[in-house]
Amino acid sequence: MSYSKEDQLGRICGSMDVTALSDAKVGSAGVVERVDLPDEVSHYLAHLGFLPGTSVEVLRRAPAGDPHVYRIDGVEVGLRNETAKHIFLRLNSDVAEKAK
Amino acid sequence: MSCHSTATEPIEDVAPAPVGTVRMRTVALIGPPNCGKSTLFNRLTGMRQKVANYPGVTVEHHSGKMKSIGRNDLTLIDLPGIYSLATYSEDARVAVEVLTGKMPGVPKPDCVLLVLDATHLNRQLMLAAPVFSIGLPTLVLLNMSDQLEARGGQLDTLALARELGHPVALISASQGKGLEVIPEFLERAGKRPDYGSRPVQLPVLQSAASCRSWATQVTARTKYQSPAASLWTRRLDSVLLHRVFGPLIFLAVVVAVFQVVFTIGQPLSDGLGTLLTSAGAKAAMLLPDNWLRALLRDGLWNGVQSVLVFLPQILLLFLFIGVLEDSGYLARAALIADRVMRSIGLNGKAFIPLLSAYACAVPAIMATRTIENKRERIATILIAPFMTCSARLPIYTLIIAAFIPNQKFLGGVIGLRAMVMLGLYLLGFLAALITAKMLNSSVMKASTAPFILELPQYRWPTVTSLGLRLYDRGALFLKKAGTVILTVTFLVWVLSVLPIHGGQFSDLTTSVIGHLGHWIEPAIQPLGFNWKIGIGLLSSIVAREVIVGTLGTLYGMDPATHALGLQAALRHDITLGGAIALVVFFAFAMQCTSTLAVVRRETNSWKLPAMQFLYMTGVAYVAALVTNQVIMRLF
Repeated sequence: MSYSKEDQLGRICGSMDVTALSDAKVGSAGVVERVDLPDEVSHYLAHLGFLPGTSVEVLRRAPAGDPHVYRIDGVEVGLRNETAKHIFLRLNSDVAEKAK
Repeated sequence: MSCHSTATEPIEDVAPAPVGTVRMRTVALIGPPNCGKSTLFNRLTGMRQKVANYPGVTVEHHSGKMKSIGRNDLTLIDLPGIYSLATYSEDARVAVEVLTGKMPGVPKPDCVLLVLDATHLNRQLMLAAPVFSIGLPTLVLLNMSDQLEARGGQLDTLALARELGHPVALISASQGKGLEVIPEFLERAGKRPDYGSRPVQLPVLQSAASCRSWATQVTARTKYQSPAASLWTRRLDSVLLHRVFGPLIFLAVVVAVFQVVFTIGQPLSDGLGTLLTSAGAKAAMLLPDNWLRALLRDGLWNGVQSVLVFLPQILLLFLFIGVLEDSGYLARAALIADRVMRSIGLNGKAFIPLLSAYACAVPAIMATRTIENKRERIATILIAPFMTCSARLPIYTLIIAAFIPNQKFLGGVIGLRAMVMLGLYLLGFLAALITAKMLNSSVMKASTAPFILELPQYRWPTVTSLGLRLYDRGALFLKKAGTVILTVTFLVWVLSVLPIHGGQFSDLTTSVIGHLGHWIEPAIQPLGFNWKIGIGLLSSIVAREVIVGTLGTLYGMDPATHALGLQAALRHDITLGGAIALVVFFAFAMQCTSTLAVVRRETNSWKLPAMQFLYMTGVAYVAALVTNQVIMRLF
């Protein structure tokens, strides 16, 4: 399964405030837009709450910088950047402004 | 809020014709991971539980009679923790097969207890739809009612029961609250198999999104209020996962665990060993001096002893792992260690098991259960025995004391002996590292499973839960490893006294094992070993530390002075190259029947422990050969 094309499309055509979860700054929050991962993985993530429309917050990073801890749906989940870069979110505008 | 009681609609008007009483036998317990299912299982079954593997898979099968609630006639089956019944994982496949009665050897359950974490109901309810669709009488148990209340969450069980079409109750498994609804439900379900269930509209089960929106709608209609995030967890995490303090605290925890296991566990193990030996010797005095006494003392009692001496360290390690896991810190430790573990193709969850392996590989391999990813779990199991466990120390200290001069460098701060010991630790660590790398780049490469780590709220570990865990692991080790070790020690003993000449046992040198030692001598001569070492190697397949005792017997020394005498005897008998080769051999070789037995148990296969044994022995042979040849030419 390849996601690279979609990744690029997302970056080119997508609106400015859609970003990969791995690129979102600690403290920023947004709403999950889509999850571009193999069925098996996205199914697992879906049961942790990573589904389009759910709000997610970047809570903190591990001391070594990776993985990051995300708060989704009242639960804290640690994901490596290699996984988080395939999850896209629409940043909440006020936070997005601050991030810039 | 109507807590702790079954909230259900009067069923008379829904279910028309009463069906005759059915004899219920089996109840299935199902729920997502971290919902407190195991705690509930322990509460309901007490100490009387059976653990086995399902045929052909590595998934464990826990079952027990529901004695604690007075239903000794009912068997409770604890299914693996799963998020959905979609068969992506082995765990979910097992759950579906058990629930539908297709699992060989497991009777189809008569009803289901579905455990959900009440503090995350939106998410947890996603499992309810597929479970209901199976059509068994189901009681929905919303666990962690204490946390829901404490953090200001709200839940209307009556409305929820109406929405779900199944009885619903709030419970707290850890505090034992609200559990009286379970016997009540079982009683009624036994009388009427359709008890409590009403047809409701279920979502498309295969789609996570549709299950999710169904769950959200249900909770919204029943005015569920999820509790506020635990303030304490946030505060603790800002320290324990802090960029500087996080790793420091992590290191402190690791050092503390190690220190305690060695400073308390090791003397306890040694003391227990001495105690058992003298107890065996005293008991043997009561028996007439014949073959039966020799069999009981040297064959069976020694076997029992070699198993029991592991117990103090195993229990201590499991106490620590239990506290770390139940409190929620284990997940944080995994998060901190992940970056380092990733460089050898493993994830953060492998860190604590591998650390435990420095004390003993047996609890380490049992502790790999916290690694959900099967591939990484197997890899961790394969490399754990390379870590320098405490059973290697007797032969290390013997050889170092006999062959390495007590030289000090840097004004006495660093000793040559300590350096050699450290070198041996490093050797094992490197072997583990290289093996992990090899596994990662070849056999087990195709991994799509990512590292996903749920960070639970911090909680105080409860004494009951820790006690049950220790009991469970301890009993498992004694039963499973014990039987294998007993068999092997017995066999080794028989081989060491046969053949019988004129009613007398052979002594070690003329026994079958002695002949085997002579027979393998040509193969081990290039390593610098003679036939006596050969016999030592053969006998230590049971457990590494056995070699010291065997060599002691072989060199025919008085037991009172044998440690001292043995050193001198060894210096006479083997070269420096052979001696160093011997410890190098022990750094790599899989000389431990307990470990093999536990690997067999945990992986449910003979192939893996067999491969592991051959691989480790192969590496050990080559490494010892190189060591001896190099040292022989250098000195």
